[in-house]
Amino acid sequence: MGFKIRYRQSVTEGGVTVQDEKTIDTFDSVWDVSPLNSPWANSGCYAGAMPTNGSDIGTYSVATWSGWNKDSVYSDMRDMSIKPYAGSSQQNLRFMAKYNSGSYIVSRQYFNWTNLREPTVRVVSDAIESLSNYSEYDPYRRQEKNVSAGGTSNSPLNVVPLVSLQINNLIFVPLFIIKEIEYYNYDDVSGGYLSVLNPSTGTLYDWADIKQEDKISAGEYYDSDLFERGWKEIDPVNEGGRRFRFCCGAFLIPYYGKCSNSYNPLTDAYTAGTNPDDGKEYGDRQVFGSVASQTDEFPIIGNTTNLTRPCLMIMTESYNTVTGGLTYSTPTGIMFGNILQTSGNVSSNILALSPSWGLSSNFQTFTATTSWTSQFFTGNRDYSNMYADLDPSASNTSPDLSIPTKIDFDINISHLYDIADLSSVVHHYIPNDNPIAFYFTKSNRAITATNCAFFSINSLWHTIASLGCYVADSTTTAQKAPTGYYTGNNNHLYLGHMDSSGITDGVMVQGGDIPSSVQAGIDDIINDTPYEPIVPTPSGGDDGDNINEDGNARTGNSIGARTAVASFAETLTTYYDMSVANASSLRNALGASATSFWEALGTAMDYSQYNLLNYIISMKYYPFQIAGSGANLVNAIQFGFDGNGSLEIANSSTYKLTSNLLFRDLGSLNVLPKNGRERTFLDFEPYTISKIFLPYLGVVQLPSIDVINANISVYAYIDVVTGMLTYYVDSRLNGVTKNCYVGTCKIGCDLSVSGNDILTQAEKTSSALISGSKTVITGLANRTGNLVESPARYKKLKAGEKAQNLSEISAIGSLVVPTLLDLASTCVNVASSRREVPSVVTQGSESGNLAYFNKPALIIERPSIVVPSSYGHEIGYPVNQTKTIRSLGRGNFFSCANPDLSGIEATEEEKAVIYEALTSGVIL
Amino acid sequence: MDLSIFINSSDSKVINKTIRQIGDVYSCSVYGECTIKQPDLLLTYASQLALCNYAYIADFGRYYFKKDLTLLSGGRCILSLEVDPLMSFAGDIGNLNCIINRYEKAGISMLPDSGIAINGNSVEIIHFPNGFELSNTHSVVLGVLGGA
Repeated sequence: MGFKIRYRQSVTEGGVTVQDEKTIDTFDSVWDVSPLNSPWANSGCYAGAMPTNGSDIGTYSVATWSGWNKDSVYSDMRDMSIKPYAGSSQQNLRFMAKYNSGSYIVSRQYFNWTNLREPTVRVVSDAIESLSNYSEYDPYRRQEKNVSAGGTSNSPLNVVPLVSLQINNLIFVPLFIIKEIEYYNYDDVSGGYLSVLNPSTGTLYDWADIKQEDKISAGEYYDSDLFERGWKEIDPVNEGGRRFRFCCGAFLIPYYGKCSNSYNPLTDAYTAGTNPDDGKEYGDRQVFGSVASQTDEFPIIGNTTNLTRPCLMIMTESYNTVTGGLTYSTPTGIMFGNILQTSGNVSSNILALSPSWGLSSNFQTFTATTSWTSQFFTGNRDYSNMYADLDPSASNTSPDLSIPTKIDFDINISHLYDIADLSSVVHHYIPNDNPIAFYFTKSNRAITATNCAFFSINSLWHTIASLGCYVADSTTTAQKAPTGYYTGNNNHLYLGHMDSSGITDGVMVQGGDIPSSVQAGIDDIINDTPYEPIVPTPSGGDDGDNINEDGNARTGNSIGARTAVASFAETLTTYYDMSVANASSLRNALGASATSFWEALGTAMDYSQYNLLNYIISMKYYPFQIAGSGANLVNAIQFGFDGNGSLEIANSSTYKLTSNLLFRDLGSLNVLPKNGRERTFLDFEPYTISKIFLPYLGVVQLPSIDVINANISVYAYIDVVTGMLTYYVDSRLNGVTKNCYVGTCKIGCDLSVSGNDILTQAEKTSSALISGSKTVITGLANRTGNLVESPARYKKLKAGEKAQNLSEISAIGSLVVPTLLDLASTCVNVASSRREVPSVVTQGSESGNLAYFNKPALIIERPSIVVPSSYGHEIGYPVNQTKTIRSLGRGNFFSCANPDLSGIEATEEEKAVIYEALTSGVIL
Repeated sequence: MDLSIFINSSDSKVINKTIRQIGDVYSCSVYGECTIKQPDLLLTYASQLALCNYAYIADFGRYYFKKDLTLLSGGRCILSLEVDPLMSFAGDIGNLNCIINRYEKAGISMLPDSGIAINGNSVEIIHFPNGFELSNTHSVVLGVLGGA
């Protein structure tokens, strides 16, 4: 499928001017065709009957083509031919073709021809693209209601590019954001009729009809009731839940490459450049790395030098479609690429917001330069253009797109029909700070946070279109709104309005939380009440939404912050946290460094006398540092109690633990649903399997209903008394936090050194020494191999006296200490060798001994689905909604459940046939 | 009895069929025992009768599928029809208020759809931001009596 572009150009060879026909191929469809010099003033796209596929334009007479309607647009992607307006002296044509990226447009080529002769340019499709292709099921987009009025019916391409304008390396095409439209198409916008519904009359208009009815004349701006300026207040509940849609017609796309073509709309001067296409295309680049690469991606042409980074721009003024010519107002559009510089009085109105700058109060004003004369932006209007510099700092080589980027748009409502905020809050700016309505949405995502696709047209388009919004003037209405289109983890509704300084009163409220997925894209089915709310109010309790429905609300909406619940205060025990190295120091302090038997023996007798070893309760090894910040650094270990024979052994970097439970917040994650917006049945078992890896515990499965589209937090507790590690996995969804998993494993590795063991050995040692058993002494002597050290090294500590250094306690019996310390050393060594893989006891886990990653990780297994393109038409998607059959739209497939055929005056046999047909599926 | 004949280009399960009338209104009479459900009509043969596949009998107020056409001597023919209740009562059907099980324009929802085929799966691993330290700074916790 594709198009070949053929054109004829007058070429002079040898003094003879001939028509040279050339072919350019291959494009996916036509984007826009319009004259270069005077957009829409003297010509336009052909809107009549299309030439027969394959026929030559030469078969059409000039008279045929004189019927070109500048107000019409080419709306189908069949063959078409274009030419300058008959009789016009304009011979230059601009032509923009597109490539498809998925089902979206990635514009690429932009041609300018000169010396064109009739017939001029012809676009030949390889095949007439079936419109049904556009109704193919795409799980990532909503289905739209057909727009069939006028022109090519059922064309999904029902938006109209008004004008495209090439400025240096940038291509502008308008952005339509139109409110009061019942349906929308956002998937593809390569031209077409813009069909809108007049809400007061229910009449469907196409673009041309609207114009005729409203009698737009030269010099007037298009300003019909259909595009009323201001906001219509609608109660989504009482008025049937009318859904407002953004209808975005086109967008501005940077012309990729280093083409130096330029066009000055003020002087109408066009300068042809070179290298119009370097073989790359826009869609190739989604990640913006270094500044250098950005420059390469979006070269700065001309004098637009003060902005060198990719930016997003939304302009709010529509183009004067009637007057055209030089009376440009700001072309409506979105710009990706380097921001235009501005000058004059407009500069103060051009604002920029960077995600790295944080709040909208940090709007920045760009410095004006003089390259572009001000007419392009000036006028007695507060354009309040907004720029979002996505990479405002040269040192910030790439915006952190892993974080949903919030960009608030400051829009002057008087010049905009609607706004598309790409972030959490859909704001609009009410002149004079007079809020007349709130605009709100559940979406809190930026353009995208996935795959650094901020600059992906796909994502942008999805995001804009997914912002199904309602308008209401009260919080109560907002809370009752049957919303459900949210993409992030936070499903709250947002209310608020902005003034020029940013958000002034943005508040967050809890929405109705009625799942609307079923109704996605079916505007008039939304009235049906779902069977039950997604968060049913529990009996005797509360649903945790901070709304006290039943009078039994509990405080807060979560299970509370997890903190330590026990303390060693006023207890008889103390736990010290040492590093392994410090444990070795302690070992030496306890006599391992004794250089003689007598020295060791003396220390042993001291400890025996003061029963030091009796104080040791346990020793456990942990493969990570237990004590965190805030622990009590004591640099010593104290045995016993002050004034009662205690002994303190210096040991640097030793922490005294104040609680038996040590808390670790391992962070939280947002888990998006499969389609990035809302949960479907595919986000639950058995289709989606959610697991979590917990270090030292293993992989456990979590209920996907608690994981998908939720915020998952992991907390860990280490009980230093028992050595147990307990994980809590919490899920926050729909404003409610619940625990979805608790698991325990033993993380503290016992070093097999207990107070009893030590005491037993110590007692035995003392007894042996007192009895003067030669056997024992001999054994000790044989073990130490040193019997000749002087007993003068004895030093006996008195009650309450503390050893100050290792030398004072270095004498210890060679029987006790080596036995003890060798054992401890062995345990430490064993434990150290195991490190991240200690022996653990798992509970409810699939695998123990796992700490190959030190961080928890969610493991989401999502299904890849296959949906035939004709699935909807021949099988249909589950709906389960009550509906008048007539309203389903002619030509659409549906099936009913046990229909009541009362009112049909047919025979019983005929009713049986009808019943069978309706239940098995029919086409209206 | 008047008979209108059509070319029906729609599938039989289409309620509002797309039909194009051919020929004039034909006069016919019943042949043998005639039921509303499956009438056999006797009429003078015309070429359009062979071309048509759909009919409407005003006296019955019903649309019919053409089942067969039997040519008789003397230029007569028998047109065998079978009623199409969907088209015949399309208006009434359109007014029904029903629970819609499936619909072409819906899309994937929270409602499970067993008809959607699963073609493998993908695994997404997302690490949490915090974790345990994997340095050499391991801990040995010593518990002692006293120490206060």
